[in-house]
This record gives sequence, C-alpha cells and structure tokens, in this order.
Amino acid sequence: MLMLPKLVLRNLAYHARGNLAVMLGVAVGSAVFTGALLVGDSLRGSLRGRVERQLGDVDSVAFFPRPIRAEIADKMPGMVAPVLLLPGSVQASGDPATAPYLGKITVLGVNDTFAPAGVSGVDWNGDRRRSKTANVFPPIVLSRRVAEKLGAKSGDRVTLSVEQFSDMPRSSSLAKRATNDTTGTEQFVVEAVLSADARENDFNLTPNPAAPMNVFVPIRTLSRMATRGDAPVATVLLASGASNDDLNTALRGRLHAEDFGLKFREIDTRKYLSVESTELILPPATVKDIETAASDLGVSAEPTVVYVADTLNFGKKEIPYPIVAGLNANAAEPLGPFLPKGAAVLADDEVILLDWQGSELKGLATGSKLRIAYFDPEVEGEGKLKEAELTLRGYVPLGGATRDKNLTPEIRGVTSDDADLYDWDRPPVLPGEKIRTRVPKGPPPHPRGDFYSRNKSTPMAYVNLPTARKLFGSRYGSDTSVRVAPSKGETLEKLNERMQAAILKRLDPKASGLVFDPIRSRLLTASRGGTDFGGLFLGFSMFLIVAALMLVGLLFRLSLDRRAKEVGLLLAIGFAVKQVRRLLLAEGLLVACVGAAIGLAAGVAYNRLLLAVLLDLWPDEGVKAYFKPHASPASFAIGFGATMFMAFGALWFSVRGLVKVTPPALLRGETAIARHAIKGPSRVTKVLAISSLVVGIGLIAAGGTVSNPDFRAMTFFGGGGLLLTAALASAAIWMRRTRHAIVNGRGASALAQLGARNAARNPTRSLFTAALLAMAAFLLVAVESFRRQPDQEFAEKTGGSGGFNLIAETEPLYQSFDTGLGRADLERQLRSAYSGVPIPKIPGDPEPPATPQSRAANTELDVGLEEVFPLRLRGGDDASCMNLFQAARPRVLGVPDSLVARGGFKFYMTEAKTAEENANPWLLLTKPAANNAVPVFCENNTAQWMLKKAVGDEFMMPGDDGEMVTFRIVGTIVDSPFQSEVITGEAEFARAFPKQSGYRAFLIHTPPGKEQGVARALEVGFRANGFAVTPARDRVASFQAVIGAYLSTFQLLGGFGLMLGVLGLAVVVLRGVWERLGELALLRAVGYRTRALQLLVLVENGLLLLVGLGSGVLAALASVAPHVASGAAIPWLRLAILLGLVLVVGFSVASAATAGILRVPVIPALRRE
Amino acid sequence: MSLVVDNVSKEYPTRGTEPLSVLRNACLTADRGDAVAVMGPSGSGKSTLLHILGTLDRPTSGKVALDGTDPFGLPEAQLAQFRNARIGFVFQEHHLLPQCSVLENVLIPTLVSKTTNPAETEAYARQLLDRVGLAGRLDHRPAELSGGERQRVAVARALVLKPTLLLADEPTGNLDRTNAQSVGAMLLELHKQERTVLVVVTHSADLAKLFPRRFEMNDGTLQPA
Repeated sequence: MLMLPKLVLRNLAYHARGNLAVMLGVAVGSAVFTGALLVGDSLRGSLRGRVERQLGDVDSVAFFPRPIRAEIADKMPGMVAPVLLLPGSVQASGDPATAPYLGKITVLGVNDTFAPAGVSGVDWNGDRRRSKTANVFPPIVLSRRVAEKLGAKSGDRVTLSVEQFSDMPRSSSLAKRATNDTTGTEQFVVEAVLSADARENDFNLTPNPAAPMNVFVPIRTLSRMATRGDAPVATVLLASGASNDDLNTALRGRLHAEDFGLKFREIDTRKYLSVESTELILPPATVKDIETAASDLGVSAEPTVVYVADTLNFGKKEIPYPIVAGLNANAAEPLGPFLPKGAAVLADDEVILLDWQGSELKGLATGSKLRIAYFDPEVEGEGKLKEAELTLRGYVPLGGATRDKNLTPEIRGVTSDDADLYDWDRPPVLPGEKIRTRVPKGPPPHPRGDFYSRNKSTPMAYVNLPTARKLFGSRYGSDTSVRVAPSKGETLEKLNERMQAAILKRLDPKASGLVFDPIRSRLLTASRGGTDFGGLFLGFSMFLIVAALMLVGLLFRLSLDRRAKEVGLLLAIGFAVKQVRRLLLAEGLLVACVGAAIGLAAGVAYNRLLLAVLLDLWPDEGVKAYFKPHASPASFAIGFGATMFMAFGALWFSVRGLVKVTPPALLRGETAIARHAIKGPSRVTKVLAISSLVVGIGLIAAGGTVSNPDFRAMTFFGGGGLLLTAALASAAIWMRRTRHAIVNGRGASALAQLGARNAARNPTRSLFTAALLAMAAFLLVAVESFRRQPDQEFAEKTGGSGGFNLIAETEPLYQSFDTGLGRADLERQLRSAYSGVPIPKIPGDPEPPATPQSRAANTELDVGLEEVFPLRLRGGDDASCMNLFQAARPRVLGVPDSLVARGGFKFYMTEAKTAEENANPWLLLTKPAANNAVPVFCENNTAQWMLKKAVGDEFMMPGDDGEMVTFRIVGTIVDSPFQSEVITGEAEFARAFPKQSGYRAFLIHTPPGKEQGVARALEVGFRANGFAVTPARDRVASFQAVIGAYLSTFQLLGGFGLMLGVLGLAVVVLRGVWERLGELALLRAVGYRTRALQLLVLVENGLLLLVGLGSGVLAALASVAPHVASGAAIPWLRLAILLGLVLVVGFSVASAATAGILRVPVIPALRRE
Repeated sequence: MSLVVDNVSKEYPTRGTEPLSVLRNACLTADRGDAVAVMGPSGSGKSTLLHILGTLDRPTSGKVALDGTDPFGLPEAQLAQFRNARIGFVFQEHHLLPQCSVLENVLIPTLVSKTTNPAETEAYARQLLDRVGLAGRLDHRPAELSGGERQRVAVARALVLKPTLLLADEPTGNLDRTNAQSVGAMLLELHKQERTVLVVVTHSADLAKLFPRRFEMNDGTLQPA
C-alpha cells in the first residue's frame, strides 16, 4: 500500500544525489553552529578545569591585609591551613649580576598542613636557620617551572627575596624606603623540585593567565624574613570542608584585638592604657571604635597624635626635631592636663611648649608666632617639608602629664630605651649626617640631644587634636594612640582585658579584611570567561552558517527544479499546494535531520580545528597546557535544534517559490513564474534596498555612541548586514532591469553583454550565489580591518606607547630611581650586585665598592633614563585579552600628577568637555567623576571585550576597606601597553586604595638603542624586588598577537564561507549551463566557437563574483568606517591580494566546472532540447 | 448537465497596453458519457481551455460548472480536493514518478483523497491496470515500460478516483501510430465504462475521428467542427 510516508521515502531514495548535497550543506551548517558553541564549552570547561587544578582542595580563602598569627588556623572547622603568601624573586647561585633570576614568583610559607605532597625531609614547622645546626641554609621546594627557568636542581643554593612588612606605612614620612629596608633576602638550599604532575605547581588564587611560579618554604622561616620575628604568621588561610559562614563564625571567635593591628600598652608610670596600631597610625574608623568601646565601659579615652617635626622656631631660635603631640589639653588625670596655669583652653593653631632646660624657645611671650616646619606626612621618596604658623599659648613644666615619653607610640629603634638619637634606625627624612650637624654630639652635647638622652621621645610641644590632625594627617589617618583611663580603683591589667573585649565587639572583621572569601565559587564564576567564546564564535560563524543554509536552500531548490514536472503533476491530480509543500518539506527535513546529526559529529572536529588554529596562534604557551576541547549536551541540543529550525526556513523558502508556479508551467518544466507577470523590479525590492541602506548607515553611525559593547557589536553586524542587503537588493533591481537592454554589437563586448544577461536570467539563484560570496567577503574584509600592529606613530608621545619605550613591573619600590635617594639606592644595589659585597646592616660598616661594571651600569642609567614615571599599582585580575578568565576586579594603576601634566598616549574616546581637557584628557583623572566615582581610563579593547563597558559606564569593585568603590570610565586609549589594567590619577587612586603604598610599575623613556642597557641595570639593581622590564612595543605586540589569533581564526571562518560561496557559484553556473545546453549548442551551430561560449560563461560567472565580492567589500568598508575614523588602518595590500585570490579561484572553479559541458557534441545537445 | 462552460475567456497581461486574449467566450456543455474532441492549430488556446476545465488555470471571465459546482469559487484547499475527486488528467507526457512502481503511480492521486477507502482504491487500481493490459507489470518501474504502456498507466491513474471529467491533452502526441490508436481506443472504452465526461485536446485527426462530438479552436474561439 502506498502511503505518503512511503512516497516520501521513495522520493528520498530516488533523488539521493540531490539530497546528499543538501544533507552535506545542512551538515556544514550544523557543524559550524555546534562547533562554535563547543568552542564556548571548551573555554568554560578548560577554565573550570584549571580552577579545579589551581585551587586543589581549597574552597575558601581569607586574605589578610597584614600578617596575623598562624595559630589562628588551629581547630578551625574543616581543614584550614595558614600560609604566608608573598610575592618575591629568586636567583640561582652564582654571580649576582649574571646568574639566572626570576621575579614575580609566589613564595608560600607553609607548615605541614599545606606542605607539598611527596616531598620528604623538610621540617615544615621549624626554622632550620634558628635550629641548633646553625649556618645550615633553610630548605626551599621549587615548582617545576621555577626550577626549569632557574636551571636549579635539588641540592643547589638559591637566593630568595621577599618584601618585608613595615611597622608603619611605607608612604608615611617616617618610614624607611630603601630596597634593603623593604626586602628580606636569604639563601636557601633546594630540598626538592616538584614533579611535573604535582598540583602544587599550579596552585594559584587569582584568575590570571600567567602560569604560577611557586616556591615553598617553611612558614616560620618566611615569617622571620618578612617580619623579623620568630612567631609564624600568615597572610592567608586556606580552607576546605567547611562552609564560608561556618569559617567566618569560627574566625570571628578566634580573632584577638591584635589581629586587627592593635596593640595595648599599659603605661604604669602614668596609669593609663595606650591603644596603638602595629602600623603606627590608627585608621579613623578604628579610633572611633576604640572611643565607643571606652564609652561602653564608662571610661574616658583621648585620641592622641604624636609627630616628629623638623623644626620649631621663633626667628632664629629653634628646636630641631621636636616631637609634637596633638591631644585634648584639658583632659583630666591621668590623661592630662597639659594646659599652662591660668589657661582654660587650647585653641586651634595654638601651641604649648614644654619648659625644659636648654630649650632655645624658653621665655617667649604668650601670643608669639612660632613657625613649625614638618615633613609632609604622606610622601614617597624624598621628604617634603611643609610649614605652619602656631601661636604660643604658654609653657608647661616637665612633670606630671607632660613627663610622659609614652605619649609617643613605640617605634623600633627610635623610642626604645636603648635608642640613641645619633644611631636612630632612621627614615630618609632624618638623615644621620643632618642630625649630627644640627644636634652636635659634643662635648658639650646639644640640649636637644641631652633632652633625648634623658627623656627619650617625650613631646616638647602640644597642639590641640584638630590642629594636629590637620597638620599631620594622611590618607592612613593621623592618630597614633587612644589613651584610656581606668575606672576608679581598676588595675591597668583589668582595664586592658576589658578594653580588648569591648573593642573586639566593635571592630568589624569584614572592614578589616578578616573574612573568608568563597574563592572556589568566585573563580568558577570567573571561569565562565571574560568573553563568551561561544557567543563570539557564533557571531562570527553566523555568516558561515547563513552561507551554508543559503547553499542548502540553493541546492534544495536546484533539486526541486529538476522535479518541477513531478510537482506539477501532483498539483494537477489534486494535491493541494499545502500538501505538496508539506510533502517536499518532509523530504527536506528528513534530509536535514540526518545532515544536522552528521553535523554534530563534524562540529566536534570543527571545534578541535578552531581550537588548534587559535592556540597555535596564541602567544602564551601556558594556555595550550590547559585549553582542551570540551562538549556539553546542551550545545549539541541547541546546535541540532537551531540548525533544524534554520534549515526549515531555507527549505520553506525554496519550496515556497516553486509551488507558486502554475501546474501547467510546472508540467512544462518551468520553475519560475511567467516573466510577463513581472513588471521590472518590484517595489518591495526598491523599498528594501533604500530602507536597508538608510537604516544600515544609521545603525553604524549610532554604533559609535552605543555604550553597551554587545549592542555596539550588534550595530556593527546589523548595520553591515543591512548594507549587504541593500547592495544585493540593488543588484536584484539591476538584474531585472537588464532585461530591457538590447544585446547588440560584435565581438567580446557583445558576448559580455549576453553573459551579463545570462547572469540575470535567474535572479534569485544568481543573488543567492552573490550573497554567499558577499557574506564571506564581508567577514574577511571587516575582520582584516581590525587587525592592528604597532604603527609608525606608536613610539611618539601621542602614539600608543605614549613615548615610553620601556614598561617595568616590580614589587613595591618606595622611591623613584631616577633621582635623589632612589637613584642612590639603585647605585648602592648595583655596587653590591657587581662587587658581591652585601649592603651593611649596621650603619658605619663598609659599603660595597664601585666596580667597572657598576660604573658602566651607572653610565647606562645616566644616558638612558630620560624620563621615568613611577606608577602605583593595585593588584587584581589581568583585564587584558591574554586573560581568558572573567576579570571582575581589574588591576588599577595610579599615575602621578607629573604624568597627567605631561599628557600623551593615543585616545579613542574621552569624556573631555573643556578645551583644556580636550587638549589633555589626562586631566579627567585628577578629580572625582560624576557620582563621586573614581575616574579611570582603560584600553578600548579591555573596556569593550573584558569589562563590557564603554566611556561613561561605571563598574564597582572593593576598595581597601572592603567597601565597594565605583569607577567610571572617562576615556579609552588604544594600542597602549595598559590592556591589563585601568588607570586613574594618584590622588584618586589613594582615595580608593588608601592602604596601597609604593610604586609597582614604571614608565621609562630612553633614547633609541639604550633600552637594553637600562633594562639590564635596573633588573640587576632591583633583583630583590623582582624588577622586570618589558619593551612597550613587545608588550603591545603580545596583546595584538592575541587579537591577531582571534582575527585569523575568524578569517578562517570567512575562508570557509568563501569556499561555500565558490562551491555555490560552481553549482549555479554548472546548473545554468546544463539547463541551457541546447541553447549553447545552438550558438555553436550558428558559428560560435567554444572559446566564445566560455567567455559567455566566464562573464556570467565573473559578474556574480564581482557583485558578491563587491557588495561584501563595500558593506564591510562602510561598517568599519567609524573604526577606521578612530585611527585604524586598513591593510589594503593584504586585502587586495586576498580578494584577487578569491577572484582567481572563483573563475578557475567555474571554468573547470563548465569546460566539460561546453564540449558536448552539438547534435545530441540540440536533440536533448 | 455535468459540465457547463459558459462564455469563458482568458487574457494575459503584456508589456504593451493591450492584454493578450487566448480564449474568447468559449461555451460547451457535456453530460456523463459524452466525449468531446477539441482540435486546432498550436497556440489557438485549446490547452488553455483544457487547463481551465481542469481548474489548473482560472478564466478571466465566464463560468465553469462541474456537477453544478463552480470550482473557482472554492478556496485553494477545497479546489485541490475538488480536482482530486472530480477530474482526471492525461497529459501528452505521461508524468509518471520514476521512483514509484506502476501500481503506486496509479495510486498517487489516492494519497490525498479524503473520501476513498485505501483497500478499495487499490483493488480498483489493480482492476484498471488489468483493463489497460498491464496486470502483469504492477511492480515495474516506469523506466521498464514502453511509451504506450506508460501512457496506459497515466490513463489508469486519471481514472482511479472515478472522476466526473476526464481531460486529455494530446494523449497520443508522443506515441507512434499503432500505440496512438490503441491508447485512443482504450481511452474511449474506459470513458464509456466509467461514464465520464471526456474532453480531449488533440492535433490528431485520427483520434478526433473516434469522438462523437468535435470542436475546432481557432484564435481562441471554440466552434463545433
């Protein structure tokens, strides 16, 4: 019994060849669609895999802003390991100037709870250096990468340097900032090198692309290096097996006040409790918490500021280095009073002097105007003196509240009982020579020195608290202690105990950064990728997918054309149009179903091909190690479903046209509606052409102002697609119009006219072919125009590099190295490196001598360092295209005012409004943006692809206190070396990240040819800081290599599209020639030579090629016009070669396809007709 | 009357101002059992008339009624059903589906019929094929048949749903003389047996001679011969 399904199957089998072509077309579409989705799966799967590997078992992590006692991890829920995690550098044994050296390593101080597995013989809980077997170097375990780069093996000695913690902010005036003061360096013996498959090689807590460089040392040893103390400390707690909430609850219960950076001194001499900071200055919020805690206990508390000024003088009379206290002078015992007899209050800008023997400022009249010179409390490098005028309120005798050296908080080497003014472990603002000059040791001793010997750091001048805060306050705060008086009869010990408990209740662990972060879930979120690879590849593959489906439609229609009589018969014998359509669609969909299923398998191979191409071109070898193909069932389901949906559309479109033809015409073999029914180009086509053109141009023009990058990309593709539509609709109009022209004349031109007429003979078919080619050409040209290389202007001040040919990153340097103290420090380091003589720990010990090499390095620096700008850097996620993870918290650079004033770099777009800002957009970074947001610049690509933002957009990330800070993009730059970070002004940087100190990045300009010498001198000099110099051009080139890898892969898609286009062209021309075989035979019969017929076919073929390529190229150029207007250069030559090649291939394929048919003998061909 | 053709005209638009008139006020009536031959030169409009009678084309003016129904007043789906149930076609070319057997080709119209019983129609198809002398070739493919045999299959296909109107457009045009006579005679024989209205368009005087009613089509005008 014949039923419809059986008929469908019969048809499928009978038209197997045609169906096979359709099936393959669908398979291509399905493969491309599914493959693109699988690329997304691969990225996510690979990053997820990498997260799993880099975290190991760690689920949560607490990052502490300062080291806290490692024992806090004991008996926490789950498994919690204390780790002292520090950035550092390591150098192999040998000549310090030449031995292999590695900066930017991660040093993990661990105990046996987090010791690398499979390493024996290391006492992870001890410190061999402190053991009885003195002079034995402590052990270090190197990761495989570090060992390979250093060329080190087990038993070798290496030198490890890490940054040391400071007991006061490095950016405060009293802090020491020389390299030796900020880093700890020690020799280690390599106990083991991790095996290549050890997970510890990849341990990493940040979602960054760089392969981690880990080394492991005992936590006690590293703690000693970093803190100079014996107790093991940790900066991170790594937790597994417990929830984040449980961990935070447990942590809160274990925290002591000292973990918040507080210390409590019981001042027995004055009977009060001094609450101080382990970092000298109490943050304002903490001062409030202490005051509130005191209030809770019903005891009085007095915030106090103590500061060492440079000079306090009245005319020529002066006190050098006076210690000034800011406090409530009216405070009652034991916290005061400090008022002179008869005075009731100490007003703003008034000063009370201590009446001490030998003071030059004795006996001045009340109301005398004194001048105080003091160091700017917030400074990097050289100290900057500031001055203020104070009015003398009177004198207080040395006794009672004023005889209190403990008003000054503990500063190592300054306030201790054995400290000597002349041997102060002094900051750079108090150089020993200057002290000795101003305060001669004698005999006789200078009165100031004598006072110090007797009274140590007892203040000798008092101002009120607001005045002290105004003069000596910085971004860290101003108060150095809060003095708390006990209740009546209460012992200091009891008060201390009560205060610690009360303060703990007030302090917020979160604000102090003492909380666990669910790092696994955060990194897994980041592993979704900075860019949706699936979406990105799907976007660029859409042209190819549409091309494949157009080819499907074309092939299906060609197949149906051959069955026109069959369709006519079915209609004639009573099949309704709908029934015929269903019958044909059922056939087509069955074929498509098989094709789509085959495409799923092909999609897996296609995904592997794309990844192979992408990774082959990717500049970072590390990515290849973990980027593997992955596949999810959802992608297959979506790929299959979407392909079937689109195939249905293509098939429906093909069938739709055919069933419109009347049955008699179909029975005659005609497949198009009778020509006389069509009066030239339809109005719909004209409207389509014009409206597509207008809307397309509008979209592209509007694209520049669209802030959302996804929408901007859509305007680009949408605008380009519409322009393409307009071009093809115009071609359709032209094709219909050509039928009115009269083919006349002689020779090649007449033949060409006839060929053109042939191309217009079946407009739909021809347009489909042209559209296939056009889309591929569009993709190729558009993608090619986005390819960039550092241009000729790159090295200019207004070019991508901003005129800087070197960019450096380092562990913090606290003074720039081009002049002054920083340069002196650098030269000292160079002398030490080249002479092998260490820098003395004790003042007066022999300094390392200069060597010819150190002199040569100095000369290189003298000649080479033309411009140096130190930049602040807050670490975070690498926001560049090198990072496949989602960069939720990008790195932030803070540029100094001097760089803002200098200007430069190449801008893409800014929010500059005034003429001044337009002339120098960097001025935008000097003041808060709208909504008090921190204004930032970033690389245009970073904004668009990684942050998914545009100029005017805002984003948030946590500041130093854990609170969210809003950042506003006020400008984008291009071709810069700053793709990994966002940039703001130094003041705004400090507003967002007040606790960050030092410079971790430098922009350097050298004369041409001096780059290498300067880089080498700096890397040798600052090897303990892990100083690494990169040529700006190389850095930009590596970013552009990534972009190039993407673009080349996308162009591969365009290449596939062209292949489909050329295939479609060959099919169409072949089919056209086959259909006109008799006609062509007739031409030969009337005297046309084969060559003339070939010309006819070639013209037809060439016209379609030109219409296709021309439409694609023009639409692409119009689409990228805004991009080009922003300074991009289109590589015309490459494009011309590419398109020329396409033309040649297109002609060759069509010629080869038709050559055989044109040689068919005349008579059989005529008979066939 | 089973078939009424009343003043049917057909015009086509042209690039010029005047439309092309192909059929002019054609009138024809016929009842079941009537057999009509329409002759005329090429381009005279006879195929157009046949296509209009077969509802494959619509008249510009005039009316056509079959068993009292004006098919052109029906919506597209019902028109197809009407054509399926009431009209059988035999073309100059057999238009057999090469992928189907002889029996299946005859059954093709039944696939979309809403009124027939599949088993009965198959039995009837077999009977028809027996009557056209192809009982032994039921499973053969069209490529295995001669031209005359193919046209016999086409005749059987046209009759399988017992149409009121059987239309044949040059049914013997592609056949040699012997086959043409045989197919012509068979067509008339079956028409008589099935009591259809048979309208044949032909150039063949030999075939036309077999028909009791003959019409001449000249320049779009239908006149009794």
